[in-house]
Amino acid sequence: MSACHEFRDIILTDYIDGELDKKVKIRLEAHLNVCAQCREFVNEVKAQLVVPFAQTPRAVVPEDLWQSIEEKITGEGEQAHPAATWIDRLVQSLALPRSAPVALSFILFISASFWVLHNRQAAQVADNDSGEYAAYVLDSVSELAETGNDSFGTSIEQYFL
Amino acid sequence: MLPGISDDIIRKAAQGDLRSFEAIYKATSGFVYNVALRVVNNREDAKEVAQEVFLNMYHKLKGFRFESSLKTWVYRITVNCALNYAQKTARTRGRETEYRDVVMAGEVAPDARAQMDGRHADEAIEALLETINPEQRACVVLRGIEGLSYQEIAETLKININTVRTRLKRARENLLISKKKVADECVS
Repeated sequence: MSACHEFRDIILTDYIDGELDKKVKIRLEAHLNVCAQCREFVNEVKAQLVVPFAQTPRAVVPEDLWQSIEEKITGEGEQAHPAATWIDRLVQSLALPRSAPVALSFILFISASFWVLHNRQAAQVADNDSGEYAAYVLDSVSELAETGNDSFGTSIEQYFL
Repeated sequence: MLPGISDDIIRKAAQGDLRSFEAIYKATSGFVYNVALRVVNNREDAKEVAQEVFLNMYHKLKGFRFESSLKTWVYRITVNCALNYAQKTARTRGRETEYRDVVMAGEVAPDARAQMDGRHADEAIEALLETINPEQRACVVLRGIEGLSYQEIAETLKININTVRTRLKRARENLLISKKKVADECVS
């Protein structure tokens, strides 16, 4: 009986699946020749657990499965690179070569650099002009203070005074 | 090795070539859908799982190193997706009752059996698979329906070959018990 118990586990797995070691298989088949209960168990397992699964009809893949997968993949690509797609479309519509965005970026960079340099020079000139004016005002004020003459000698001044 | 799928096609698909990926889809969609169907045991769910499998494949192909066969790799993704899905949507319906209903429907209409044989067999397998847990189901499906060896199942599921034996043994014991219970109820 203990031999039957030991063999039943093997019958349920390696024996019916054809995975059994040759030596064990010889021992098992020798046992089956003398044990009607185990023979019956083998037949039951094959009929109930092997044949039905082996004969299971293959399900047909839904026709629209690939279409939905393709749509998802394409949709993901567009979501991941919307800007690139937009630039690509623009480049294509203008029939420009692939290097056009790079050349455009280079030109923009050079223009921006030139503009910044030019503005800095203009600012320096403006700084110089305003410095000269401030010096003139200071000179005038100090001259007035020294002479004690607070008249500017203009015609408007004479009219009112 | 999958028929018609060269390493070159795999590399092109990994670089995002959709036509190459479609060739892989054509070579694998049959077993992907069938394994998904038997593990999640529902056609609508199986379609959703199959879609997820192919999207995963498309993104993960860059990481495929040709160390295992593409078929084993596809089986692995399929079973993982199906098991995750089955766990997420774990159903609480009475499994044995469902199997009994299917068996009794077959008994009640013996005249129609010839026409219904295919459909009835399909429903019987579906109901029977409901009586075991998803991990056991995956082993039974890969062995009994897909015909993979124990070694291939172990590689697919990334488990020890003795774990494959244990899962198959327990699954088959449970299946036999379910069948006996139903047979006894039908007789009484």
